[in-house]
Amino acid sequence: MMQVVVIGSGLGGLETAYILAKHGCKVCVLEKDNVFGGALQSFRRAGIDFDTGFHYLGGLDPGQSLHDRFDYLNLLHLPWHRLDRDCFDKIIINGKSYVHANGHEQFALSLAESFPSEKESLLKFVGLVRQASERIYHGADLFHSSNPDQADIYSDTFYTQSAYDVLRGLFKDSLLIDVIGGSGSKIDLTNRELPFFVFAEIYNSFIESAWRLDGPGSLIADSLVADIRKMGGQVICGQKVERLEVKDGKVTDVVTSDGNCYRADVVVSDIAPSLTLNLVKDTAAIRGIYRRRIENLELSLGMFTANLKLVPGKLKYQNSNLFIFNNSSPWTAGAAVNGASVADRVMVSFRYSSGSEFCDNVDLLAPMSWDVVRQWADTKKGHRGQDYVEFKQRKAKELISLADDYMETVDHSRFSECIELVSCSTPITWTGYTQTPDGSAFGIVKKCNDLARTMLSVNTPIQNLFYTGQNVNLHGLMGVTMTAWQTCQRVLR
Amino acid sequence: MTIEEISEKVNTSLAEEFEIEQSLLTPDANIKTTLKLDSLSIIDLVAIVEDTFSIKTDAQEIKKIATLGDLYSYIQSKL
Repeated sequence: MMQVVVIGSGLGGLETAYILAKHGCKVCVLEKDNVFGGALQSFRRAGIDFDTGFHYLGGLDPGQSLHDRFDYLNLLHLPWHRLDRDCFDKIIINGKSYVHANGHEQFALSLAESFPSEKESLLKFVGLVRQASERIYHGADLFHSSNPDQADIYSDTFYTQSAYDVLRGLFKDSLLIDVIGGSGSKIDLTNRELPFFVFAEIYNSFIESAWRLDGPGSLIADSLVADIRKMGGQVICGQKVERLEVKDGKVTDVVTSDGNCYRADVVVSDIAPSLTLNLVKDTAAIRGIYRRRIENLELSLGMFTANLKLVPGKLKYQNSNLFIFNNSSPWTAGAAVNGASVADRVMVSFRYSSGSEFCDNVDLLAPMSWDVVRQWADTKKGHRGQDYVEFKQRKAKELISLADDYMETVDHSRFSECIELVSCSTPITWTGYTQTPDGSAFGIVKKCNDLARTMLSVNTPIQNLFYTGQNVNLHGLMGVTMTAWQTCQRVLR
Repeated sequence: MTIEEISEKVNTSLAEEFEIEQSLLTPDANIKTTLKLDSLSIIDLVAIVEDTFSIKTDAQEIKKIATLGDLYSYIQSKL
């Protein structure tokens, strides 16, 4: 029986472990933290479960992008709640609202109401999104494609063109390009070299259908862990991997900081590639040039989150996400890279609670670069200083102020007056819990004009060590899930 | 830059970074079969070439390169 050790229990690690366990491998997932789940972790404060990395996903209806994969992973039984088909994302730019609706044609026609002269281009756009994602969906499929390497991405314009350039080629109105990109904080569109297919694959799944959980995002990790254990696999927390023993070009053992040694036929790493390479002390096993290349890859922006607990029964639940922009564009970083600037955008995520018309828990999110918080990087949690506390309070206040006009309360009081508790996290918090370098929310930045370097393969220079997770291939929940299949395909080959 | 100057720079990198014997570094050496560079190593080689010569390569054109001689000529065409 093939013994597989998975480093890290984020979504990619757990999905990979689940698939391999189902294929008869003996899997052991090692998590350094005391809680599994990585970015799927939730935390409880004042009686409420707050989310960290997960807020919504797309494509869960039969025949759609994620359905078969989530069925395979036994995740369809979770309490998924469908977002408003006519407006799953509301984009508000300088006070004016636009909707993203489900269904390819409906998505185009809804936006054409605001941009009538762009109707034909909008229909062409949704056609391209569907076409690109169908090709990728087939290309990375463990069950239907014998060799995912066959795809020649270098001659495919879906890969070699950026999402920004494709949109600029289609539309005359730059406001429409901002409206379409408006929900793009979930994939970091400030990277203008993002290959179109990454954009298309993620957007397509949301255009199909959009869902949030009736409960915390940790339900996803809980379900995967329970099933891995049922299949005889192990998921062990508090096991920080310190090094990988390499013999004759293969990893033989995974050694943890408390001296435990796990024998491995195959190792899958769900932590950042640069951190994975640091675990291989044997310099002959991995050349310096490869290490330097991986270490020098650019990382995406991080995220600032204000988790809010509200006075119960005051705020009306909205079955959509709000993306609010104030004199800013989703295609430029703006205040995300300048801590002194006032926040210029916010995503509002409402927690659904079955049967209730109210919402007692709202998350406000805005992109934030590592540079903005770098000055506190070497401080310890709980001891970062009063200036850090004040910085977080100021940022939370700015995000609340951006959202204030678009939240409905039962008694017409201001949203900002309904807040009982604010809990903030920054890219530093993110790094603390997930180890992700620079608090990056989406990992290595993929570039259409440098695919070979920035689209990492799941293979490493060590034949039985593989990557998984969002640094490889695609990012976001959808991307991580597709990559898990690709990693497993290489492991089982 | 002459082909000789280019080949000297490329060969130095190959010897240092990939620990390839100097005697193998001839213009007709096949990059995959003689030098035994796999797909990951070829990406590393391209990264070195781009940094060393301050050029931007084209993935489609790189795929057509078979021997070290082809690589020297390609670099020269980009300078």
